[in-house]
Formats: sequence, structure tokens, C-alpha cells
Amino acid sequence: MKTVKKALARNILWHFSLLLGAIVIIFPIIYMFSASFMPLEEVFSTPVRLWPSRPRLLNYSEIFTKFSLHRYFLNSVVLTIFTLLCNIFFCSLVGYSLAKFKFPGRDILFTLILATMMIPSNVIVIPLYLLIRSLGWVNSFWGLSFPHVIAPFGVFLMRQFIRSIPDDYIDAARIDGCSEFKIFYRIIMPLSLPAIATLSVVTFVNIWNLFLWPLIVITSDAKKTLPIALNQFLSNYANDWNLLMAASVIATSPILLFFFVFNRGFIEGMTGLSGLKE
Amino acid sequence: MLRRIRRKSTKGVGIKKAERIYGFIFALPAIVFFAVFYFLPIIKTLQISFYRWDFLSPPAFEGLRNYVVLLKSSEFHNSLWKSFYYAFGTTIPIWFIALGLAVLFNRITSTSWLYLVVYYIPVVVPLIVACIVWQIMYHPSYGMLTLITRPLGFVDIPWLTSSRLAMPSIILLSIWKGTPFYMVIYLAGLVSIPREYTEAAQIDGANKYQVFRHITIPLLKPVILYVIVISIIAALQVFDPFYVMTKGGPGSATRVVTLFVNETAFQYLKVGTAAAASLVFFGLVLCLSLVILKFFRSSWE
Amino acid sequence: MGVQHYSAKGGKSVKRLWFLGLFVFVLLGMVGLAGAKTEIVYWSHTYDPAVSLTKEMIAEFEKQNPDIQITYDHVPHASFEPKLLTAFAGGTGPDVYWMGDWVMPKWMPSLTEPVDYTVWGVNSYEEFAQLYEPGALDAFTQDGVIYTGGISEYNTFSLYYNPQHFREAGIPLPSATVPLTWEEMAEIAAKLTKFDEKGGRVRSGFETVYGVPIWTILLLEPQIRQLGGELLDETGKPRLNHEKVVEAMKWWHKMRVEYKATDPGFQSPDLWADFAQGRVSMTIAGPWAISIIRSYNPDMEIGITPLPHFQGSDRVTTLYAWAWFVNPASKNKKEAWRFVHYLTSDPLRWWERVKYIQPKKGVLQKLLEGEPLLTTFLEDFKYAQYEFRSPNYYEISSILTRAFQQVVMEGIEPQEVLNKAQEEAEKL
Repeated sequence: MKTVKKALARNILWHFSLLLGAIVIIFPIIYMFSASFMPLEEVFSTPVRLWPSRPRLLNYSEIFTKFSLHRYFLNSVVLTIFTLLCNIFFCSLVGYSLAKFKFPGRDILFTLILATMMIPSNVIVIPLYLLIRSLGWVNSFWGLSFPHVIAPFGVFLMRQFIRSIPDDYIDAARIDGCSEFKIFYRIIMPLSLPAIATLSVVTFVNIWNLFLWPLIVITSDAKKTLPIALNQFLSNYANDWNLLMAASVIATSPILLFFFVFNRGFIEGMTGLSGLKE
Repeated sequence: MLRRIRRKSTKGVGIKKAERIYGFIFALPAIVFFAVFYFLPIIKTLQISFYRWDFLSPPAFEGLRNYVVLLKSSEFHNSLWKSFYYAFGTTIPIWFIALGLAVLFNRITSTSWLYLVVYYIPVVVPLIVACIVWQIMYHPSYGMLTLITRPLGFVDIPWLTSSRLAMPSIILLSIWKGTPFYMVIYLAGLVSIPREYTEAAQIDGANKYQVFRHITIPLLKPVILYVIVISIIAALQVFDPFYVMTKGGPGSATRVVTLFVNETAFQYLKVGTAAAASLVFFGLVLCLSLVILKFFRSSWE
Repeated sequence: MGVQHYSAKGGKSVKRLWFLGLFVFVLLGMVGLAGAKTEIVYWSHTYDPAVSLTKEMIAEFEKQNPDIQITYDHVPHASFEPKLLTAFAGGTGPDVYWMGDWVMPKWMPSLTEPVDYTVWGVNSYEEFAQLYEPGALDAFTQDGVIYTGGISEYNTFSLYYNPQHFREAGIPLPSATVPLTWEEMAEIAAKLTKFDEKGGRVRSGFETVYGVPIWTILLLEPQIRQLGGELLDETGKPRLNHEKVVEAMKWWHKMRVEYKATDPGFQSPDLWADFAQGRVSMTIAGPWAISIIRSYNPDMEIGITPLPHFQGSDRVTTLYAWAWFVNPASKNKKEAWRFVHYLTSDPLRWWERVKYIQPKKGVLQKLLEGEPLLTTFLEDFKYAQYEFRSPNYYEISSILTRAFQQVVMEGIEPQEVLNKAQEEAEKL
């Protein structure tokens, strides 16, 4: 009896602390949503308000008329989707080759790719800018996306995961006369879906959030991505807190949506990452 | 079918060769990509660091002058110090909080999956959004934090305009944003520890804490090492909050190296100095990583 | 087996994905390819009232000149000059742009084209200069050659105040032509500052922009000059810890620490909204601020009095201008100048919409008729001096700004802070 009570008490304590932590953690987000519906005076009131007294839906239309948010949103979407697809393809391909093929220099290559994760972005930003400039890609979609089409973390992730795919599948397919490329996308890729889900979420978040690189590369207003545009709003419309919050909600929603859809695969893929013991 | 198999067996060597060629072909995009976008730029940065250049006029060779200037520059020293202050100020709390949370979460039931998703939200939220929201929350008169601080008797707290508080404010934001990411990594590690080990220890009479200290932690060592190294490297590369929220201010209280390099190159147009600064920083980061790895390896044995 | 075996059927779904992606931005790329008109690229910095007027004028100009197409872009104020410079360096600079006077040492003459005065119907640089108030184009002239097509905004700073706050506090309204002293102004600011029961600030007597290098110079330099000092010595080297600089800085220190009349942390991110909505009683700005303030509070009663001066000192105010330029590397200079000519053809419109002054001859008097508040600015123009000239303008102003922030945000002693700043400035 006592142990049952103890277990129950422990359960309640566990739930309680997690719940408390959860509230603390998403409090800023809740505030963001709440303030995005407030009329301006309420944002600037003392004492500080937690909820709008009368939700102002107009905020959400003003961010499109006043801020032209749709243009920047579209830019971010196109950039993210393109880069994401490239990453899925290339990281899987390279991960597969590093995981299942033997060729001279394979391990050195893998170590080098891992090593690039240690390079601070500072160090390569200037030459990258010069490279993009010499290609005439300044202020262009290409210049913005190319340096990100293969993420080192993505290669690492896919390689670790693909290693765990039994060789028999591949050998059997080879014996059946399958071409290497067919093996790749008919067998390897479908089997790697959990890792691809993880890769997708991580890449989506990274590319959507890119700040320094677009700041340097994009000079024209029309081509700006969402984070750069939001930063500009912060200076130009610094007083329109309610609109800023609404814009932030719009900027966050796609990622949140993406994450909620793929979260199970994402977590599973991350858990498969515990093959780090080497 | 049989003919194909026979052909295959006589082509034993051919298979190995084909495999090698295909492996190489598949890896080729990465080889080209990383060479062009990561390794060549490092060499180029090194080259630039020996010149004085402003993007406009022809570069002028100066040898090691940029490095000498940096060595004497108190602004540069300040930015190095601020970067490491930020990095450790953020990562050390994260190491512990994330582990604690992961332990708490190490009971994957269907409810805790929901918690997991909720806890992960700060990671997923765009950093610029976090900066905007927190900047507004930090306002001394109208920010959300006043809800907590005013009843406690504190008014007009200059979260972002005091040189003592500015960095801790950004650190707080970063801890909020980064902890769940590492929590999930720890969780992955915890989950992979076979139940038998912990159960066996408990049967042998060990209590929860002893199990944790002597079984769990040692088995988690690789994960812990991984978390430590990547969290520090990630923290040292942070740029956005410093640019968006304080621009290095007040004074130079939050002028970290990333900001320093960006300003030096793109505001003051001293490209050579910026290149040199980034390489010095890179060198320090490498040394730090090696030190950490060594430390871990020795404490391991 | 598979070396030459590239199953066409196999790659199809992957290929399809590729084509989709390719298609998406070929589409995007095509949007950029316009017809075969002469294209003029124009950059300005981002400032809402100016941007919207610019877009209107561009539409009108294109209608009147169907063979010209203007591609307009605006860049945030903070990174405007560096962005322009890097664009020029990469050969992708705009044909027409505007720029401030303080960077002319670096920009003139290599990045600015001498004006094609024929587009304005005159025959020499001297005649072109006469289209403007005497001396207005001096900052943009070198060896008799004028490098600008016209000034877009001609500014001095005056003191804005909220008359309602003054009346409530029983303080007599200052004159529109006679300045207060800095000492008087500080006392008034202290009186107008309000706190609530808990001690939290509710209103600041005075606020200004504390973190932007250009502003720091525009605010501090007149004070230093009033005291008889200069930021640079005769050889052009900075002397940031000169006694006059310290004295000027001491006023700010007093404002913050002793009078508690100002607090950078109190400002909402938008100072003009703070002023318009009554959270700040006084601020310093140029004529352009009138339109922003009115956009937040259309019926607001705005008071303007000349820039204060120190007791017993001369009156010195600041002067800064932005002007339009053509890129020497432009391939369409004639059309570029025609566009600039159009932009400068209606100063009244720029004043009405944006409150930018184009100091063409006779314009100032006309503007005064429509806006009595302009009286004070005209008064301050009489004592206005341009900022210091130095190729290291950016570094010096940034160093000084950091020192300024430390004084006003932390309340650190000016001498100490300025000594450190001077150390840093000497290394330039």
C-alpha cells in the first residue's frame, strides 16, 4: 500500500515539475501569441497585460499591407524547400557512400567533413562572399542557397543511420541486378525515413533561421528572407510591438507545423543517433 | 539468372572495383562541395589576413601587421573574453539543466511525448523571433518580466542597457533556446543504456543516486563529451542576438568576436584585419577543443 | 554489372523533384528579366515616408519617360554606406543613390560623378550652384567641380518639446527663436520626469538616440564647438579626451545621474512614438521628425525651440545633408541625371510628405508659409556647421558612441571613459 502511494506521489511530483517547467519554457511563446492580437495601447500599458481585452485581428492583415510580409515569407519558403530537398538528396547519397562503400580516403573524408563542423562561420564568411561575388551571385537566390546545400551534420546523421541498415538488403539487390543508383533510392532512402525526418526538421530550422549569410548576400529589399525582414521591422516599425508579434507568429508557424507533423520521426531519428559511441 | 551469377563470380575483382568507383562517385558531390565552400575559403582567409584591403582599392601586402595590430588591440581582447564568457555562461548551465531534464524525461510514456514536443519548441522557434520577443520582454517598464520583478520590489531593471546585465540577459535567452536541444541528445543517450545494467545494480542494493553516479554517467561519457564540445563550438559562433538586441552595447559589453569580425569587415572595411581576427579565434577554438578532448580522455581512463 | 547501367526509369522520381525545384526558380529568375528599356537602379536608405514618395515619383517619371525603367531598392540606414561600398566594389552598385555629406572625403570624387548641369538647363558649375542657397552645395564641391545633382535633405537639429507637459508643470514655454541654455534645459527635463509609486519611470524629461554613431556626433559636436573645442586637432587627428569634449560629456552625465532626466533603457524601441505618445517630454531632431511624430499622433501640439547652448557660449548648431549622386561606372549617366533632375524638381512635395528640405533658392521662405514650426529650424540654420571630416569618420564616431553609451547607460565618469576612447582612437 505504501509503495503504491509512494509511486503515485512520485508520479504527481513528476507531472507537476514537468508541467511547471513547460509553462516556464513556452511562456515567451504564449506571450508572443497573446500580444500579436493586442491593440497597440494594450502592449504599452502598465501594469503589463497578459491577454488582450479585445483581440485585434487587424494586426494580421496589417503585417501584409504595411510590412509586405508575404514577399519575405515566400522568399524564405522557396529558399528553405530548395535547400531542404538538396540536403535530403546529397546528404543521403554521401552518407550512403561513406557508410556502405569502401574506397581509398573514405575515412579521411568523413573525418574532414566532421571537422568542418568545428569551423566558426566567421572564418569563411568573407571568402565565401568574395566567391559568390566573383560568380555574380550576390543578391541572388543561388548565392544565398548554394553554400548550404550539403550540411556536414546531415552527412554525419545519414551516415550513422545508414550504417545500421543490414548489408544483406543491399547485397541481395545487387545480386538481383539492381543498379547502384536504384539501390540508393529504392532501398536505402525508404529505409532511412526516420533519419530523413530528423534531417528535414533540423535543416528546415537551420535554413529558415539563416541570418548572417542573407544579411551579407542580399542587398535588395524584395529578395530578403524572413529573419532579415523581421530584423528590419524591429528598427523601422520599432513601436508596432503588436504587429511585430504577429509577424513573429507568422514566421514561427511553418516551422512549428513542420515540427509537429514530423516530430515522431524526428525523435526516433535523434534516438538512433546514440551510435555516437566512437 | 544463373548466367548472371556465374558472370558475377568471375568478375570478383570487378565488383570490388565497381564498388569503389560508385562509392567515390556518390561521395564526389561532397568532396567538391566541402573543398569549395569550406576548405578553400579557409586558405583564402589566411591569404587575406596578410593584406590590407577595403573591398575597393587593390589589396596591399602587409605581412603579419594585421596580427600585430590585433595583439595590441584591447577591443579584440575584449571581444575574445566576451565570446568565451558568453560561451561558458551559456553552456555550463545547459549541461546540467539538460541532463536533469533528460533524466526526468527518461520514462517515455505517451504523455511525456507531448511534453517532449512542447519542451522542444524553443529550439524550433526562429532565433530572430526569440530575440524580438525577449527584447520586448526585457523592456524595463512594459516588458513581461516586470510582472515578476515589480512585486519583488525591483523597478526599471536595465536588462539590455546595463553593461553588467546585458550579457547575462542574452545568456538567459540562449539557455532558454538551447537547453531542449541538448536534452534530447542526452535523452537519446540515456535511452540507449540497456535496462539490465541499472536493474542489476539496483538488485545488488544500490540506490538511485549510486546507480546514476556509477553506472549511468560513465556509460554516458561519450554523449557528455559530444554535448560539451558541440555546445561550446555552437555558442562561440552565435551572432544574431548580439546584432539584433544590443549591437555590442552598451559600450562593448556584448561585443563578441563574431560581431567584431562582421563590423571590422563590413562596416569599417578592414577586411584583412577581420580575416586575421577570425583565424586567431579559430585557432583558439581548436585549442580549446583539443584541451577538452584530452581532459576527457584522461579522466576516462 | 552496373557501371554503365544507369536505369533511366529509376532516376525518374528523383529527377522529377529536381525539375520542380529548377522550374520554381527559373520562374523566379524570369520575373527579373524585363523588357529592353534603359534600366536605372536607384538605392536609398529605408525611411517610410521617403520610400513611399519615391515610389510615386518613380511611377510618374516612368510614365513621362517610357524608355526608362527604374529599379528601386532601399537598404536599412545602419548598414547603408557599407552595403553601397561593397556593391560598388563588386561592380553591382546602383546608377543613382543618395548619401550623406560626412563621408564625402571617402566618396568624392572616385564614387561620384560630376553633375551634368545641362540637364538643369545651365551652362556651368557656378550657375548650377546658384540654383541653391549660397553655400549649400559646398560639402559636395571639390576644386570647383560639383559632384551632386541636388540635396535631398538639408538638416539642422533643434529641440522638440511637448507644450502640454510644460503647462501642466507650470513651466513657461520657450521661445521659437531664442534658445535655452543647456543648464536650464536640464533642470526643466528633471522637473518633467515622472516616476510611479514604486519608483519606476513613467515619463522621461528628455530622450535621444544614444547608440548610433552619426547621432553621437550630431549631438556632441555642437556642444563641443560651443565650448570652443573640436573633436579633431589641426592635423586631423582625434582628441577625444580633450577638456572641452569632457566638459560636454559631463552635461550628459549630469542629466543621467544627477537629474535622472534621461534613461536609455526607458525608451521603447521607437523614440518618435515615445515623444508622440507623451512618454518623453523633449527630444532633439531635424525637421523630418515632424512628419513621423504626426504619423503617430496627428493632432499633437508640437513645440520647437532652438538648440540650447552653454551659458555664455556662442551659438553653434549642427548641419548635415544628404544628396543625390550618380555612379561614375554607370552606363546610363544621361538618364540617371534626368531621374535626379526629376527628384529635385518639386521641393515643396518633399517637404509636405517627408519634411525634407531641399535648399533651392527661395524654397525656404515658401516652406515657412506652410509650416510655422520651420521658423526655429531656419533660425538654427544660421549657426549651423557641418560635422568633422575624416576618412576615419566611422571608427571615430563608433569609438565615441561606445564611450557615450557608457556615460549615459552606466553613469561612468566622462574623463575615464574618454581617456580609454582616445587610446583606442590613437591606434587608427
